[in-house]
Amino acid sequence: MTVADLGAAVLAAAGSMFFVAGTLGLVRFPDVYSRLHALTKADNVGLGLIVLATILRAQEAGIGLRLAAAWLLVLFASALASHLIAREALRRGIRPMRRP
Amino acid sequence: MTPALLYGLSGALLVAIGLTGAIASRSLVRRILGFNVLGSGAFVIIIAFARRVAGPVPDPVSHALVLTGIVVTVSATAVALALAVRLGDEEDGRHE
Amino acid sequence: MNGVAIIDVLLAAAVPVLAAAALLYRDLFRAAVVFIVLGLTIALVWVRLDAPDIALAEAAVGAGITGALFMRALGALPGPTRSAHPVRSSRFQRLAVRGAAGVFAGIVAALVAWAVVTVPSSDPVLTSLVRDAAPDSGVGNPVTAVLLNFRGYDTLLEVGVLLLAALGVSTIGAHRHAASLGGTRVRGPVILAFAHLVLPGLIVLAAYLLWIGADLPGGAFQGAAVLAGAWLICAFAGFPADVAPGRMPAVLAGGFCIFLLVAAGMVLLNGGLLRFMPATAKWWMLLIESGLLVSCAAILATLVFRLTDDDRPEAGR
Repeated sequence: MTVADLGAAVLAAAGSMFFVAGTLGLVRFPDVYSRLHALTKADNVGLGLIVLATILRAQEAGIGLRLAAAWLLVLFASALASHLIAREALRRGIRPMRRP
Repeated sequence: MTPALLYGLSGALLVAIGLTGAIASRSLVRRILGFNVLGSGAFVIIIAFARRVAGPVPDPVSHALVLTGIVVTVSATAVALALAVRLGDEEDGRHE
Repeated sequence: MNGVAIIDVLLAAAVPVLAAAALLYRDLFRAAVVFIVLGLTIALVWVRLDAPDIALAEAAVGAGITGALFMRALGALPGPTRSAHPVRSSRFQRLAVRGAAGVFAGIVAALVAWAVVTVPSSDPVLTSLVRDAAPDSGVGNPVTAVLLNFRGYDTLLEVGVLLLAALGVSTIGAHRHAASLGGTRVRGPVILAFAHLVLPGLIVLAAYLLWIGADLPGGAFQGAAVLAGAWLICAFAGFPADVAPGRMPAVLAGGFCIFLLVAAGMVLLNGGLLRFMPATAKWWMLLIESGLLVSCAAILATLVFRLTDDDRPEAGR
């Protein structure tokens, strides 16, 4: 196992941890806004770490660039989706939950 | 057990689940969902068979068939959903 | 493709579980979301089965467009408080139905699995025919060669089916008579900025997928799906990049007409419908595919956008 493989494994494991945390938040958080908040952790950092892991194992630089571009596009798309969902939730009068 | 066989069995399960869902569901939208799953299961089986041909390149005729199938499926789903929406006032709506 | 890897086991196990979840969740909205996840997981299955063209199409069309269709349909159906039919059946009846469904599913699964295991693995006749004729097809990607050259009729009629579906959805779904995609409810600065950002890249990506489909995985339909996504984003953002209402039917039907004209032209030039000569095949196919790229994108966008006119903001979760 080369250094790159080891590094990729560590990064992928770390990214998976973020995904697990995000999924747990999605399932357990009480209102829309906190669930969105949990999802962005998975989407941004989690996906970023996994993309880094795959870049380390890519055969050529072009593939690595395309993977990074994919991550960038996911960032934009998830930001847009979170904004739209939160805006619609506000519009429907869903108040953020406060500690009782 | 080759990967093709494994995915073929997975496709068999998909076919069963999709068919059961298409028949035994109450909501129209869920029946459409079931048909889509049934179609996807059939495609998985076809491509699993396509992987089995001799040589490095899988069977392209099956690939083209499934590609056409995906496009036709989305067309049929669109028309079915449009009909379901128009019928929607008499149905249970979004919950079963 | 050597042996069974861990990811194969995981994918093959995840797919039926996701399908069951999509069909068992009480709330249809969650079922639709799980269905989108199922589509993406099946796209991964295609990658593992060496079918990258289908993976692209499944992710874009199977998961993306179909998911959008379901979401839009669910948004237009009456909400949970307006249940028209009270639950009439007794608990025993419901349990019996579920039990019967389970048994039925088990029997079907066993039968199909037995068929999958016992099918003799010999090459179909068509495969060797295609393999021998592939160098004469004019393109390097065998799937593109089959789609547009050897089985061109199938693709021609497939586009016809798409066109019919667009006609059907426009007639059934939308009440307006305007043929373009104007009018939207989602306006806002963020989505507008996103449209500005992403539209050029998506157009280039669609054209790239079309061009590269000749020799590498890709093709007209995959590009059309990407272009349809771009079109939908612009329509929902209120971005002023649209087709004039009078021109839309021409755009929708144009690809099919070009295909038909080329097919007829081949009768005059080469003596048979859709018969290509090896030297010029690539350029005719490119012409057909370019028409398909724009037309199918318009059709797919129309399918989603014209599905319903009836977005009720109060019929929500």
